[in-house]
Amino acid sequence: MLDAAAQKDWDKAVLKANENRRYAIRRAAGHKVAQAGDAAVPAIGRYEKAKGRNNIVLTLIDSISRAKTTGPLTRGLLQEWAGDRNFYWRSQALTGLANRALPELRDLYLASLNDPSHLYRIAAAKGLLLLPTVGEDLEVVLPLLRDTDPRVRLRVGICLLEINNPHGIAPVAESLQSNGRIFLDDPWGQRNATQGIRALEKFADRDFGYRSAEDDKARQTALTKINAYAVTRIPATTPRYTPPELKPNTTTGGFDIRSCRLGDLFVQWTADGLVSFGLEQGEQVQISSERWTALTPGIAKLAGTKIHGRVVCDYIRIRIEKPDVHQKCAPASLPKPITKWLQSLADGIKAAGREDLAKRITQRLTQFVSDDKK
Amino acid sequence: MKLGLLSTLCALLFAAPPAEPTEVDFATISDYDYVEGMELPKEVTKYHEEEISISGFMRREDSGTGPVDFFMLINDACGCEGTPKLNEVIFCAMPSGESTEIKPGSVTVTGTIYVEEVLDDDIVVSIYNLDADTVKK
Repeated sequence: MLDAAAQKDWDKAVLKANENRRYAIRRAAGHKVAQAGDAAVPAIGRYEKAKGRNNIVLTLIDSISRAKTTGPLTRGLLQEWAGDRNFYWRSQALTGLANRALPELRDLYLASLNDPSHLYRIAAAKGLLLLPTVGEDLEVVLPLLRDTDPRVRLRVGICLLEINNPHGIAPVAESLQSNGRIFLDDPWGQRNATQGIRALEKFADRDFGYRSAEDDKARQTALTKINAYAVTRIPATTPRYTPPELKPNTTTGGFDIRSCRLGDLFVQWTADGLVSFGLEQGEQVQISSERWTALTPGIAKLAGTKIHGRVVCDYIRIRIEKPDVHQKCAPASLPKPITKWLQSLADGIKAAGREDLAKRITQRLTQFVSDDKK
Repeated sequence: MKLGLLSTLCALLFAAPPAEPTEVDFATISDYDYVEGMELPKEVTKYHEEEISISGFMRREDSGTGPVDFFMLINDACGCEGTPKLNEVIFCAMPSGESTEIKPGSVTVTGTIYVEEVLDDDIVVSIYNLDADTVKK
């Protein structure tokens, strides 16, 4: 049991880790708190009680997640966080448990493989892959290599390569083909490809020349080498996924919802009302020209560039080219005109016969709708 | 003396226009496994004290609202996939006396970048620091 002076020191360290104005100082302080293990947990608990769980910063939780400490207080804290659906960083907490390879949590991981949050699914897969029971559990993890979210396919693939399992080669090689994919202005495909090639080169212990490629031709040469390597190493039983063909970028607008509780949603549309869902635009629905024309005037009311509320983790962001709309909103902060417009969009999608896709929008909107009566 | 004055005048009249900032991206500056104390790769140190332009997503350093003097630039719209590693963040400072709103979406920042480990109490707190001249959508 720490004495009062030591407890006070940890209170200061936790405060610094959460509230210092500079990111780098918070990160360094978080690292120190994390390395202390159980000694610092009571101080974290006091901070949480005073400020609220969702005011604990990601840098601290990430540091604890990566630390090797396995004391009972640390494990208890991570389990509590991982089990709280309203906690922004529950996935990072589950990753922390996964990193500690605790066999007694196997059932938790098994139950989490279908979570709506992509990060939670990845953490659950990692948890199972790091346990001694990996041989038995591989058959329930491998289906994630056909997850419709490319981020899940890649990250689970990387986890497999990290335990020297060649089933990870296929999704990682696939990520390199998606290098040019973007969602609105977010180059997610390039990020995936960067992570993917580093994992593959580490696994294969060779440089394929992909990262140093200076033009598309050189990159294509590297991809040819990678594909030649992959074809000889991918097991015949690896679940394979063929992403939708990369479409020409005719997007004129879209929105994304990032929700650790309800799962992310990516929606974009063209000038004539063809609406696509998913990072890879895997599902599409054509809104009738009548409905789409009726939606157009409402866009003018959304014009402007603004962040509404305090965005910590979850947000909804809407981006339309003409007129210039770029609004980002924290939970319970979505202005009424945007809510109304998105609801009308969902109605149009439902009228086009895809009530399932419309529900994906309306269910997630509930987290962001403002209580403001204005 | 007249020759010297003439030479100076010619140099001023025919001086090359300032060079365009070098376009850099996160794929280049983040593409290595950073370990504290390591010798940073030549591929990134070559930009030290260079005028560059880079696109990314703005993040507040603190938890408040309103305009900022400092901000972080990262390569992730969401920023919730995990804490960016130090070689995945550029710490940007606005010119003295100026501030900026945190803008949603991707921005292009132009300015002078400094590529070196910066320590605070023996801990590396940054690798990339940028004195921003402009922040544009």
